[in-house]
Amino acid sequence: MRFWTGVGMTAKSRMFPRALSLGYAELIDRAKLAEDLGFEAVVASEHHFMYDGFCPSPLLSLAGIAAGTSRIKLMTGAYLLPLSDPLRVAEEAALLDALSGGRVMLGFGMGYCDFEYAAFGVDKKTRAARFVEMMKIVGTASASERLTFRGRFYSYRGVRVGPRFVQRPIPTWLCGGPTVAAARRAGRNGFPYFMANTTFARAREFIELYRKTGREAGWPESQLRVAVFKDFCIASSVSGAKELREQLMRNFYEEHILGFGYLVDEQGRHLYNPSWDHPVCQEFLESIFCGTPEMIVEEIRRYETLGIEAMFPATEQVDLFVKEAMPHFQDAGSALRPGVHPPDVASLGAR
Amino acid sequence: MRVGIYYDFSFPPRLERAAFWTCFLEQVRAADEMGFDDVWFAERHFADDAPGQAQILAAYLAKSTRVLRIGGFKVCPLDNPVRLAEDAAVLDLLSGGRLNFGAGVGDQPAAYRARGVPWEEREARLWEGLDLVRHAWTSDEFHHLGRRYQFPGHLQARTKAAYQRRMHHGRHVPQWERGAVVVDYLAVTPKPLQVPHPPFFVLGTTPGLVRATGRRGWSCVLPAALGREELIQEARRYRRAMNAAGRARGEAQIACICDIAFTDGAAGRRRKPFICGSAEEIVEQLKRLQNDTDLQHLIWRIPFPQLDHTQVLQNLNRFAREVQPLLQS
Repeated sequence: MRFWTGVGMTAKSRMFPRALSLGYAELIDRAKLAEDLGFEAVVASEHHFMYDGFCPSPLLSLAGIAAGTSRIKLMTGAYLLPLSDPLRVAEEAALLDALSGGRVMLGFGMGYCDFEYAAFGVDKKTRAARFVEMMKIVGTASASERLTFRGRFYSYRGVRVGPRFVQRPIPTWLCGGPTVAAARRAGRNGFPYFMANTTFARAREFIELYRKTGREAGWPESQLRVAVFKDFCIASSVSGAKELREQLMRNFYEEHILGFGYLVDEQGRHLYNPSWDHPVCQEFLESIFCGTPEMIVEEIRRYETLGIEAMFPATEQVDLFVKEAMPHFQDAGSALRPGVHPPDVASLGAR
Repeated sequence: MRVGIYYDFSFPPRLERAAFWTCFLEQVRAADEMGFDDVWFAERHFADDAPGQAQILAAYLAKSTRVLRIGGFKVCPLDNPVRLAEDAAVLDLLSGGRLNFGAGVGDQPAAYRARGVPWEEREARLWEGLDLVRHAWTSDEFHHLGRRYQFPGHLQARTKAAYQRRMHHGRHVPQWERGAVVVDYLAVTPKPLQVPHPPFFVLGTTPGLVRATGRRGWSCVLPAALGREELIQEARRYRRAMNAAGRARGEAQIACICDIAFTDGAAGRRRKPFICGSAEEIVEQLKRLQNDTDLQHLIWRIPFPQLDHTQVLQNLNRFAREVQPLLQS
């Protein structure tokens, strides 16, 4: 199991006020620390027009990180592809790939906020079809000398995307929610699937669906790869961890779940202003795994049986995770030998 | 006079790729140490060793340098101006307020074709886009109804109804309480660090662009292709436009991209630029140019990789040691 972590730079909310520039100033230090601790990748995500100043350009933060690190992979998760232009994304990724010596991984998502689509004047109804087409374009652009593509929304003939990619093709991931539509979409097109937080049972269900759809579409097993984003609350006791979860979730509920339609119900509708007791809301709460470090290790082992190759452990207790959980996994945390105390990583927030 | 260096990536590649970027970075870092004021570069599409998207290189340089101001000439009409505003704000934050917002229309119609933007509309799109960028940086929630851009994009400006639509009606709804309501106003975030906003530097590749830049009171960068006489003429055009619009001289800078060659040692090189010679001769020519054009900012085009890496480093060093003390005195 390999581990990914966040850049944690836009943690400015109404409850934790902070100057945005501070986050950008310490970007490299955080990434370096993550690199030394044995994380495989730092992941930057994208949101627009947020009152909290969320970074709208993940590849720019990653380009900054690239300048100060040498090994850690630079991953977007998710880059909101339908809001952009595939050629622009390909050119951005190509340049960063060249500058970083081939360390870029592209996670693409669709986003869910209506106002983001409205703001860029992008039709939300056709977003799924456009998204798949755009992902294929970026993949093709990175794999071939000249980009020739004929699609429903975009067509190119012999465009030479420059500078040339170092990684050919560049690794791409479909970042999707734990939904039937996302699992099928990833499987049908043979895109590696980076799945958002959910319970173990649902994760297993959607990973099986993904693999089944992928096999039926004729994709080889090696192409059907899975990584998961998993929320953890860690404390020395379960009740302590649950208390932490309650605190964090209250904040997240008020800042994101209420206003932004973050949660989706069974019919795929976004929920705005759901009550705290709403079943979907409670289910989300339950999907955040609470436990002691030993329980976290066990939970990750359970995920390993699903054939997951990487995990983004989203947790506020990164120091506990790094000290107590990571060393149990062989190919992660190579920098941490027993008896060696990791540096203080309390500041390495994941969200 | 401020002095920066510029890379236009138009010289044929002579190095292996990895070496090209390593050398380039070493040169920029050296310039950072030597006390140059800024680094500039062009955005060039469909080329092997060139930045196809200026903002990525700018972000990388922001974290590779300490004091240099950073400016890439973005081909603005290719992008939604909202994205330009967002990217530039992030760059300003990344660099600790060292961003110069370089803007131009580029010289590659093929790039416009590939992105589906009409080449003929390039100047109109540039100006409407830059006005929107400035608006996005300096206002909180706003909307823009222009001929080519609308923000938020669901407002269709071409219809009369759009212009008559009442904005901001009723109680103002904060973003976190909005839910599914799509409102006619949005704030572009984050905001840049520099106040009121990062300075605009427009690449004055046509007389029309030079005039319009002067009228807005923004800094104008005259391109390298111009000869001495043409430079003087364009600089006058810029000043006239500035004066006519009632702008003060101190509002913006006039900058020009120049080739400079130390030719005292190596005689009989190919075409010599009009600023060449020994350090003293170069200073004399630069001062004369400053006198004639009211130049405030010199941007030295580095002919890399045509000139090899060690030669470039030597030249940078020589400029910093021999030319700068005389030039700035």
